[in-house]
Amino acid sequence: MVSGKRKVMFFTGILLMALSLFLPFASGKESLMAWDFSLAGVSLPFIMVPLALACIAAFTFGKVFLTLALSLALLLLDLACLFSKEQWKPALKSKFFLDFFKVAGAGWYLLAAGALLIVVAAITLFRDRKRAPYLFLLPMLAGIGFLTFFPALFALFISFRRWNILIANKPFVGLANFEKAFSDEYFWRSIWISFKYALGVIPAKILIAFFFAFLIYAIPKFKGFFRVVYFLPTVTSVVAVSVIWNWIYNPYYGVANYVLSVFGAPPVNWLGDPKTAIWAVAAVAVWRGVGYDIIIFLAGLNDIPRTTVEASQIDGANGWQRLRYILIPLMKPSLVFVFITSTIGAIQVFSEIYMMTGGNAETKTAVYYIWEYGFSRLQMGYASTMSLILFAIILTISLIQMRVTRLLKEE
Amino acid sequence: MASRRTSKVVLYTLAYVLLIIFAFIMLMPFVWMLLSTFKDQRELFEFPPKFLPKKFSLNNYIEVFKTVPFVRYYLNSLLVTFTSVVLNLFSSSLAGFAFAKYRFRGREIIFKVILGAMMIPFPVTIIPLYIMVYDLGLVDSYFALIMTGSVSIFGTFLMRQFIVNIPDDLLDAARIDGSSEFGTYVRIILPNLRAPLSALAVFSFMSTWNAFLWPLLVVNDDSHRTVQLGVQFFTQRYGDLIHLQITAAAMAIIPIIVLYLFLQRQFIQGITMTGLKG
Repeated sequence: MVSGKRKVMFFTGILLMALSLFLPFASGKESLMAWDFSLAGVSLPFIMVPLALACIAAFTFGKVFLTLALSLALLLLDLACLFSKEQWKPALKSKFFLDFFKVAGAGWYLLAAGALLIVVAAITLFRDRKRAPYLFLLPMLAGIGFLTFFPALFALFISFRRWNILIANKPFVGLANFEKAFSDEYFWRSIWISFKYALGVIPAKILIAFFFAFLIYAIPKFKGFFRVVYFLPTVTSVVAVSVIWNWIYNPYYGVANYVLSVFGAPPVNWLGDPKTAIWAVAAVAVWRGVGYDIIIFLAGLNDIPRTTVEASQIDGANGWQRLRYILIPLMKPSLVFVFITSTIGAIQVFSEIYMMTGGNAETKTAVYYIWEYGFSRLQMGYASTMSLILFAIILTISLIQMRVTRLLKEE
Repeated sequence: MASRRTSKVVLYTLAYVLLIIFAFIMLMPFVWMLLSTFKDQRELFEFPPKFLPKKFSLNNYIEVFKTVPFVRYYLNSLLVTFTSVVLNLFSSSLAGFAFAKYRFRGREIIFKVILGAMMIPFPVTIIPLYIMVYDLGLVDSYFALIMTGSVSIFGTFLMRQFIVNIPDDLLDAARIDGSSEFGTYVRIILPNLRAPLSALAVFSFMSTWNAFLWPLLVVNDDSHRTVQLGVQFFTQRYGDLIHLQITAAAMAIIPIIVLYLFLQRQFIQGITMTGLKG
């Protein structure tokens, strides 16, 4: 039943783990062996050996799921050494578990390698169609759990506290943060600035993108060339692009003012004047984002069957009618997609602001304001509260957008 | 008929003129940047600005390499991006496989919960995530840089969409041949996912290489700085050396532009695929 290759793999793993018992787990000022580590008062080898024996038994009797569970337990056991800070302290006086790697010895690595080998051997044995999907979901779920679910709940937890990362005392303050946020006029102003920015970026981006996507769709030659050129700014980074545009917008030496001077207009302090700054940033965002929308719209246009367009031509529809009654309605999915995703993205603008104006000149958007509170003033409780309010606002807007666009679809 | 044809010619000409003007607007900042990298500081501060540099000197590039460890930044970015993309492709395709080809208890619920998680914007999770990373001692580590790009819900959905279309007969045939479930994934699913995998790879490559907000928080030391952080660090530290700032920015985007020009089809296909399926 069990093929030779897997047997070799499995027993190599077991052998490596057995070897690890005789080698140091950590060596710094002092050397630590496997039995210097303990779990709930039981020395590590006393847990490890029975587990390994059980694993061998499960393997030989072909109990795949049990083998997998036991091998995972062995791997976790090895990783648990990282967290038993008290026990590896004699080897290195430090509190972070990453420092363990600096002192980790051959024994620990061998145990890890051995356990990993038998985990892999067990996974390749897996023929159980009932349990396989759970196993396959595990990496993704673990990642999302660590990166999204737990932090989201944690954000809620923090928002009821006064939380400074450097101060041990994090007192519960009830709804005080929320009260503060609702009466914080600077916070609401930052939301308003985010809105202003979004209201500038979204319509401009969609209209320009649609117009040029349509032109590319209509012309007979060089479609590919224009597509490639228009998409170019999108592949570049906000940081680098901001450096160029900062220079173009430079009030004394910038090209933007030079172009104005050619037309006889007075110079403008683009990024320094509160009247223009947010729009100057928005213009860069449109320039950088329009290529993406063009690609999406072009895909939408190309999905429309040629026969539909030709039929309308035969029926005598002129260009405008074709656009209004055939192309736009059929492109609805891409338009809605771009509309909703651009809104979510634009309200959360941060990097552009950080790199171009530093939040000065009336450009302190909501995320920038939250960032400032969380990471400069270290008021993380309050910053979390504001981020949750922003989340609620974005969610409401998205839901309204979905509702409205679906209503239009049903007509 | 003749007038119709001439009007068509006029329209096409107009369309091409507009398209070329717009292409000019899209490209000009890059051309301007590239030309500026060859100018020395004095030349840069001339007004009115001159389009072409007096001579094409590579001094600015040499200066940047001398001032900051830019090679290190490149290597860091490469390591972080490559690892993230590989982990992302692996976890997304495996989870997509589970959703597409298995019936199991809790599938619908897990699917919906994950869909809900997609709605949670990054600003909400960034503060708690930073606290977690700080408490685990992972500030200034590759782990912190890699983890945020290593899974993607959207990638999982994308993979699911494509795996659904792979015929079940192929899977059953492999199983009858004695393949394990994981073996089926390696032998049947992965080879059939080439197009969507490369689309997702391009997409996650772009977002990881260009990532800024999160790396800015978790990296403070030079040995973990990515290219983007290098540029930001440069602009902050040497605010008056604009010629070098522009050169550093150019160095950050030249690799990705070159890659884009070579793989433009994959890039554009990737965006189309991810955009419409997402």
